[in-house]
Amino acid sequence: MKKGILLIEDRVTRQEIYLSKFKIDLDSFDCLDNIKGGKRFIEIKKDLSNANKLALEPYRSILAHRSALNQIEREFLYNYCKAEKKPLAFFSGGISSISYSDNEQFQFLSINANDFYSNKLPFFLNEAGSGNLKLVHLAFGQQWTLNLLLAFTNKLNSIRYEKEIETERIPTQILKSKLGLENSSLLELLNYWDALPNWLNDIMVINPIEKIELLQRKINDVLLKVTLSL
Amino acid sequence: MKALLIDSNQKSYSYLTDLDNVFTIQFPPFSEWLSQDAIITTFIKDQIDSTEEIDLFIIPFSVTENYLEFSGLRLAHHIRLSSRYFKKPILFIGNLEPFSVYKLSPLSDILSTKSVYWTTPSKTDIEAFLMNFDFIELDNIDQYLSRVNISPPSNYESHHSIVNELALLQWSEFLQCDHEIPEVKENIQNSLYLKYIKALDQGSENRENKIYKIQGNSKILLIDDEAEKGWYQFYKSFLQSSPNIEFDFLSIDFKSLTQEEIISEANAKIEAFDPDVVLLDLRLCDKDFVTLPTTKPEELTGVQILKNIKRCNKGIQVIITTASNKAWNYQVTLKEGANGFVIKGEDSDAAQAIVKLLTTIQLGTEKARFLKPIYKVIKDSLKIWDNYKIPKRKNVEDQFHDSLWHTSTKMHVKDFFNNAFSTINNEQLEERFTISVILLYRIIEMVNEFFIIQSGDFRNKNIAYQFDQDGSSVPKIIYKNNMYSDRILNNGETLSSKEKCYAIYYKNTKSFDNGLFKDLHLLTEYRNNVAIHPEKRFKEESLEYLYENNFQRFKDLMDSYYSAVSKYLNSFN
Repeated sequence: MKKGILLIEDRVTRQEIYLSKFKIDLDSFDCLDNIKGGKRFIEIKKDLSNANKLALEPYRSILAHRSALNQIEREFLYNYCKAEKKPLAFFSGGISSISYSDNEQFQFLSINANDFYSNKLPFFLNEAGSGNLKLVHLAFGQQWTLNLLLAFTNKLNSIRYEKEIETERIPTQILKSKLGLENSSLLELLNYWDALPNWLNDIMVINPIEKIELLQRKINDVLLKVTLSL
Repeated sequence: MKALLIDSNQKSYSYLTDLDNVFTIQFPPFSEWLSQDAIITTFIKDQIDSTEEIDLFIIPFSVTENYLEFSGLRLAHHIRLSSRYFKKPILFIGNLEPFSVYKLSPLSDILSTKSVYWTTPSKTDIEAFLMNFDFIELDNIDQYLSRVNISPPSNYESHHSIVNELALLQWSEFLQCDHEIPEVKENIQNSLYLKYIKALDQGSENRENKIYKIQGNSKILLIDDEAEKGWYQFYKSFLQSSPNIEFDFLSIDFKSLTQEEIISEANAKIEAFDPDVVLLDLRLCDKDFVTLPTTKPEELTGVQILKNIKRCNKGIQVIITTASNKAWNYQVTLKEGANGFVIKGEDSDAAQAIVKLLTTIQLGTEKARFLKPIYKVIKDSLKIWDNYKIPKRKNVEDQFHDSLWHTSTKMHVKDFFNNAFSTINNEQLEERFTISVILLYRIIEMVNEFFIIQSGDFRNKNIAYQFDQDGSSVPKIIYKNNMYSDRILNNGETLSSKEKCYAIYYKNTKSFDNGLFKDLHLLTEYRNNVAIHPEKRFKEESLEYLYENNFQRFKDLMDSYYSAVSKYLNSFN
């Protein structure tokens, strides 16, 4: 299978230490090309410094140790991935929190090295190996669904209190759009929990506040089940 | 009551803006290049601290797009640790019950601290809370600190790294050279973890405009993987008032090199720079930070470099700079010859720490000034002595010595010379310099006894001296009118050890050496008049006194004593 994900790491010993802690064998992931120091690392740095994107082209996503690259190399890599819409993750021992964004179809993640080399990494690689490459898997591991559900409840809340929704009728398409239900992952997830009521398929939703409160109660049940299982 | 709602950067809580007495600030947008801690710190400084009168904070669990980032919890910790409003009550809002948040975020322990509340993000619930609840403030920061535990990001997982960085900033601030290390300063100012550590260990911030000066000429080398992250700049500023100090550091990319490569680079640098003092960190590569049951302290990169330095020249003073105060560090490095310790973070008082640092380095440079050349002299002489094929003694029968005396003499000379050096280096010995002179003198006696046979006795005035190997008479070397010459001994005339030395040297080299004879004379004088007669000496004569009160005289004398033995042994080349 073609290597789809490039990992750029200069601190080879640290990688080995982290991986052994979680008993992760990166060589077992066919989708991963792990450049760990040495000649290939020097070459890729040179490519990045010279704005040579050829070396990056075979990959669908890039994961790089942020401190291994200088500002110029980092900026080139970021701009390249953004333009090509290739998911990009920077990890480093100095990064203290997880920051994930998925704007304009460009996924970007900034994550602590400790979090990066954890059980989240094999989870992400397994999913990516099955064709489901999403950095949110790397950001939150198996809890990524919870992240989605919580974002959804935020949306429900804000819609619930928006003034315009107090009208008697609302087209379901608009409601779905406001709730972000075009997001296929979210839709799948809500269907999995049987949380989406049939009325969301009607052309017009009558008494939206009442319906949303109903939906909110259903989602709260799901949330409770998910968090209890943590 | 005036409440401040911090809305997420997605404006998820805009429906709450029309609540009475609640005003809203939106959290800044996501930035690819700034850490969340940096964004929060700037946000607090520019938007929260500049706001007049806040009685209550309303903060969602997350103020960024992803709920599980729990950036609201992070923001609340920052407020407690750095805002002018650190005592104010915080009302968290969120769809998750606190028990779920406890499971999901290590930052959630703030929920169990005083003056922290929670409700759902429902407008009605918040309204009810604001109307009916009496919010109370923290009395002091300890009520928060005693209930929370902020985990370090992996760069700070070892106590070593944190203390290292904090000490760097603290000491640099004290010397007012912190502008030289902007990245470290920014990191410490922004990092939640370091704010927390600083709050736990509030140190003195008294600054002084004092000049710290190291006396004398010296070359100081810094070997520290964090050198380029600020320690080089710090020491450079620290040493700037000492114009006779040459300072350099091992500039290599520690992170990308193996332990073997680091050691090899360090050895090359030591050889090229020839330092008098080395400031040496013990943990220099990733491997050093892993502690396994099988890990031996001797395997630390710094310990191995220490061994190499001492192999090269035991007089080079190695000061271990470490953020660890583990006992085995002392044991292992002392065993390998470390000469001093600078424990970063040992003193919360920067002034005290800087004075300790100054004293340690000053002492190191002084010791290196006399120990390094002495060790070089010893090393070079012993190399010659090692290569010297000592002859088998011919006149064994008339002495008490065993037949293998020729081999044991060779070994004893070497041992005594090395021990003389170890003795002056042993600060536990009160009279270490004087004892070392006695050992040096014994070397001369041993060599003399080996090569010169003495027969007859003093009472009968029939004493005679012969060279052991060829049986020829030992001459007396005399110095008259600035000239040396040799003559046959008169009947009953005796030779002192010094004179036996002159004779052997003359036999070996067919020459006279004014410098050697002068140095031998000085050595003999000290040995006979001061060292072996403590009851007769004046304290001002002792090397120990001179070391404290007239260092230059002390150094000159020590150089002479060691030079005497060295030149004598070199004559066997």
